[in-house]
Amino acid sequence: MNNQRKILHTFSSQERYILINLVEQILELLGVPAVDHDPLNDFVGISSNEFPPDDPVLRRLLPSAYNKIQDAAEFRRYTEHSLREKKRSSAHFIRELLINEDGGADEIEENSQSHQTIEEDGQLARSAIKVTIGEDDFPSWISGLNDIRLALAVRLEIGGAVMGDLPTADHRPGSRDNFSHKSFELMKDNDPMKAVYAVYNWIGWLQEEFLNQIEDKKTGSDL
Amino acid sequence: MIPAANSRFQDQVLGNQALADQVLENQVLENQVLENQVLEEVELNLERAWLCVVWDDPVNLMSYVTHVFIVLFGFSRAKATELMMKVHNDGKAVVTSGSREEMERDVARLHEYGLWATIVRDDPSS
Repeated sequence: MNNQRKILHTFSSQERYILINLVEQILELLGVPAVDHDPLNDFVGISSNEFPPDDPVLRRLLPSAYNKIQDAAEFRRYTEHSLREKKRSSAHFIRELLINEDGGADEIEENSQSHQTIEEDGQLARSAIKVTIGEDDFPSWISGLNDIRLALAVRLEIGGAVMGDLPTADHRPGSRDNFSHKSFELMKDNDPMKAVYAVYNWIGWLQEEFLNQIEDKKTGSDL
Repeated sequence: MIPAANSRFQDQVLGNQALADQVLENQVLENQVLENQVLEEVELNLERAWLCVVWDDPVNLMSYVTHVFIVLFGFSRAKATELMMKVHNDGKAVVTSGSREEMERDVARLHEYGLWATIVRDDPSS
């Protein structure tokens, strides 16, 4: 359909490189097979996992649906596999678009200094790229970006131990302030986490940007 | 089914023990039907008594959470924003309620979007 809402965005070569790298990490993380891996279970869509993953990032991406351990285990057994696959397919989708093997998106040559270093690093993301995201592909993009942001937040320990673990009766908001922009400013420039935090912020900005674009286009419609 | 008034009359007049037995049996059956109806109603209520709760986390953007509520549940922007604010201010909000199966579907969809959601049984006392 021609009247499909679209969003447009240009990623610099560096942004493109970083994002490809991040989605590949997500793909790798979600691809780690379950402990008692049974191919037959894959086939019927049942995961052999009953317990929350050990990795805190995975625990946040694949959270428990019930407080009661038995109920949570039962639910996970039947749903974790498909949740993993959904998240993998979103990440995969973003990767494909950014790698642009089929040349569907416009590559834009850059004359910047950083160009060289990225080129040396591999064949990927040699130039900036202008992507068009249709309405049908929007859910994959927006949820895929969110998965990256959640993963980075866990690594940055934003929200401390609260995130991903089962909510308790005394769960209170406000943990948002544990890791604020202020603590970022206090970080030393050579702290590797400072770069991670910058990327985390950038992904958040991207999400806002995409949401604004898709919602602007919806003005006047039924939403 | 034999009307009770008529059967009592027959019972008195004819002293028919067999008929009296049948009346009793019919009464028992009728009671059972009633009892089953009540049980079914209770079960129906239990089926609806599951809630899908979204918990506040310090990462998901407010605009993103609102967007997800609109997309998944077809809420108006006003209702989605109100629920998002409830999550933000109270630490949690009930977004949908219904049968256990329905809630499991909702939670699965919220997890796909990376929202932190759980299923709880509705407890009217709380």
